[in-house]
Amino acid sequence: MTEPETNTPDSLSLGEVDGVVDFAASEAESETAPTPLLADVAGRFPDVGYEVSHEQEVVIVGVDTLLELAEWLRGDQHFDMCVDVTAVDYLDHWDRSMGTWQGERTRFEVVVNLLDLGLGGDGGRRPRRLRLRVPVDEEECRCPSLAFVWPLADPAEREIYDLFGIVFDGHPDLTRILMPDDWEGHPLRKDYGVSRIPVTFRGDRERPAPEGGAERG
Amino acid sequence: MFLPGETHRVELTRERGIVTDVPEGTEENLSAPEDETMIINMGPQHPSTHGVLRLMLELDGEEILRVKPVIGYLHTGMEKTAEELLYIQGSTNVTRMDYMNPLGNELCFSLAVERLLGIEVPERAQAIRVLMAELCRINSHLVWFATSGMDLGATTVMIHGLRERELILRFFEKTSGLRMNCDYVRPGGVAADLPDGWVEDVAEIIEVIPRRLHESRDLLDDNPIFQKRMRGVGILTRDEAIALGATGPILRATGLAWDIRKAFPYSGYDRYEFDIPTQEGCDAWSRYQVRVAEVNESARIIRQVIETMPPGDYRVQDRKVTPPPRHRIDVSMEALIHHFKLFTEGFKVPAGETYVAIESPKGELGCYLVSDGVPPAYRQHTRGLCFYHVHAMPSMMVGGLVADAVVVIASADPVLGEVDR
Repeated sequence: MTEPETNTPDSLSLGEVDGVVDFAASEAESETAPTPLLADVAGRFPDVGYEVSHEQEVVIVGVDTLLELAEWLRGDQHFDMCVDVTAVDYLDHWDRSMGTWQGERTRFEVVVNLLDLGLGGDGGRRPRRLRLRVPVDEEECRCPSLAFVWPLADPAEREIYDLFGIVFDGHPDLTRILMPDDWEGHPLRKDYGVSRIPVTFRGDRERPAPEGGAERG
Repeated sequence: MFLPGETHRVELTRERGIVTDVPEGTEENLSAPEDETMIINMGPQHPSTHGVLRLMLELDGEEILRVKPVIGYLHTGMEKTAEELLYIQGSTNVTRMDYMNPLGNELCFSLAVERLLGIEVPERAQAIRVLMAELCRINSHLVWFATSGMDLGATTVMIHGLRERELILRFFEKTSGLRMNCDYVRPGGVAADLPDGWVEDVAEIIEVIPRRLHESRDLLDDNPIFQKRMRGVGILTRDEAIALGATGPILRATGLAWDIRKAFPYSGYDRYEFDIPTQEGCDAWSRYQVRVAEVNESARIIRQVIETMPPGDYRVQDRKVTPPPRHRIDVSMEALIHHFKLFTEGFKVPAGETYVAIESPKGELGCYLVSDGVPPAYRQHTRGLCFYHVHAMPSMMVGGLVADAVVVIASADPVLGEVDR
């Protein structure tokens, strides 16, 4: 690793007992000074949260502000490339014990990793990364699509829809991408069992079961 | 000023209307194409699709009007599996994603775990990792060279590429015991020190491979058929590449010297001197040139690694992360306990989330890792760069010929194990 982390205040010591979360330590870290970029974001969008997680800048933004923030980041801040979009199901950790940020607590979170290649502007800028974490409500399970801001989000959001069941409003073609089209359930959800999947073959359902034969699966 | 959205909006409109959920063989479900066009499936068992990729092509004669990649045939739920595995087992899981770059996958995962742990591996471990990652880069490019040659009908090149690669696989086997999917780079360092005589082995590799690759290139570079099939085919401009998340040789073939090893150095890459090869053509030919030049740059890095390999430990000496040496177990109770604990319940990684990216042979390979403080990773997501490259293919194919689709697939170099994960 090139950037040795001398102090990671939110780290539990290695020998600590399972599951005990040090909230005092978490709150202490959230008071660290924001970086210029985070201060900029917070100044323009007052209702977003931010934190520095392992020397990486993270912005926590609600679904209502996401599109506006995304357009601004791409246009004004030169985050030309969206590197990756993924999601996390925090079913077991609604309190977000893994982060320092203690704002809105929802079951899902869409995670957008952005990259500024350092191209635009007057040149000579350092490349930067920024991560957006978007809390997504369990009942609504909707999030605006970023496919028209960063086209890469198109396949990535299909994957999230497929594996988590989060619906992206405004997505041009929201269909399953990895699982079969007639699959039931969303496998990467935490409440999706890992050992109950029967082997299925397309078209098998119409076929009558073999006489006295063993059941498939 | 880049306006990626604008470029892609056109693409999306073009694509819309393609029906995706058509069971194979049921013609009537297809959206009625105009009289002159037809939709054909290329794959999933097409020999040039490098695995099980299916492309739905809408054709007007030989011209491609629209393309829809259909993936998932190799989906085995590796990210779900990762949520059941200890961190020490995690390398075994990720190494199977991009099986042309197994050690790069392990490196990316290990760096993410180490970032959450807040440890830095010893210099020797970093140098070994660089050595292995660069060998993997040569390995990946050689396989690309071989298979894409075969896709274009140059079967001799395929034999040459695979022959050269054998040298590297033999070295991997000597080092880790396995030819592919080595599980060699692990959180905390590497699994074992380099074997005796590694300097001679590696020196032979970097002497033989660039020389032979140069010979093999004689078969292709001046070959008018090969040139005609590669030049000006599969154009992806810089704006489009950035918008669609195409990285690695595809992005460098648009003239942009973007390399994560330079931009965000990791594992001590800033200690080595190397250049970023670029080309301006934006086409398959440029990607070919970039990849071949990268083999030489990798050999250059490896030469520096051989010269400067530091002595010391090959893994971090922290008993909470690294198992104790075998001989200590016989004499020390603590060593025995540590060993037992490490392999039964695994080491704990502090709660947190992070994203780590490395420059794999094909582009930006990323690992998003969430830990809740107890051993199985709460979420481990791999940025499948081939996943995005497959979805950049339509932009490269539209307007070209069916025969050029083969060239586009070859030049994008997808590994379906990583696309589907």
